[in-house]
Amino acid sequence: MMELVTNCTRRISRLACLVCIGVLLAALIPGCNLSPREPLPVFGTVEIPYTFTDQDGKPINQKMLSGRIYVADFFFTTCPTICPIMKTQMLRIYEAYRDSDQLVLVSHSIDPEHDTVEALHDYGSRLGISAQRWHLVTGIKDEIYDTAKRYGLAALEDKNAAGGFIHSGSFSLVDRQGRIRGYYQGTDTHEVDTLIQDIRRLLDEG
Amino acid sequence: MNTERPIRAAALALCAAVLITAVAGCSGDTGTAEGYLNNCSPCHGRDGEGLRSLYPPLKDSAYLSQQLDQLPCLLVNGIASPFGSTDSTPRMRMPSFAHLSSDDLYAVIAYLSATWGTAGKTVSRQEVEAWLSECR
Ligand code: HEC
Repeated sequence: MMELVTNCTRRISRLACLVCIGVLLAALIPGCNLSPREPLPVFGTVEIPYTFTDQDGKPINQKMLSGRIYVADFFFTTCPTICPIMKTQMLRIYEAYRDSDQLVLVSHSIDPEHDTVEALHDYGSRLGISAQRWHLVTGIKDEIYDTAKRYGLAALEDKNAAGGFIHSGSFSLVDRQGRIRGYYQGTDTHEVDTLIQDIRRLLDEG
Repeated sequence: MNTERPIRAAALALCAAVLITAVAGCSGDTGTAEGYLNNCSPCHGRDGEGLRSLYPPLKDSAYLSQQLDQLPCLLVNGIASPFGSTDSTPRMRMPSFAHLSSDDLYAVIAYLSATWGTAGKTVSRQEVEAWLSECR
């Protein structure tokens, strides 16, 4: 009888441990997911009829970006609230695909009067980033605000907001055909984890 | 049987580790951290680590040790960006926190001083008031 009871508890605890290991493995290795994944949704094609200038003074336009996967966002260098957090998250994406020339990042300044090429150059070198892989761009203000709309991201000037501007903290993911494939909250580590995985999926789409 | 024990021990250890991290992640911040988290952490980081060369770390800042008396007015004045001026190398701007009440400033300073300041030194309300009178 005693034997039976211990056998039973032993079996239960073994089962519990197996379950626990299973859960742990599933959590640790998302790549093990065996079910075939749906392709990422398509939120429409972006047309950007403007040319901006990056921190190295190089022109950046749609023609240069086509055929590449890229992440777009809007910020300004003196932003006191969410931008530094967005830049911390953008750095994670930058580091995750450091060696891939298939992915570029494009951060648009919504305060182009202050954020001149010189100011963006200083900002970029403080972040320690390469202008080939991560463009910090400035340009004509109305064109930048219109571009934000085209990416499905909002930006507007508001004297009452901290720093003088209100803008979306989201990142847009654009594929090689210039189609938006996802929106991610740029201040949320988990959403940026998903973005990093989704970039891999776009790279695999070929 | 012999091989089973170590496996079970390892699994238990793993489970325990997972539980401990989960519980540690749940423990809330104390009220005093609030002012820091709302006003300063976007730039200086949750743990005062800074962001590369954009925003300096606060952990080892002299403003939390020898220059603590200058911290209140640094926050009230902010640090201006000399872009456009011809002198000095460009610096990043730190906004002014003049809009914060003396209570709020005291809460932030007390938190910083207790968290990363010189060990054992607590800052009093009166001291901060006196330092603030230099610029208010
Ligand atoms: C918009 C980003 C930003 C925010 C928000 C911010 N700071 Fe700063 N802080 C800076 C920058 C940039 C510097 C460095 C300026 C320079 O070049 O000297 C700085 C410098 C400092 C320094 C001096 C560090 C040293 O050792 O030289 C202290 C102390 C400091 N900040 C405290 C605070 C506190 C406390 C808060 C919140 C009440 C805060 N900061 C909020 C950007 C910020």
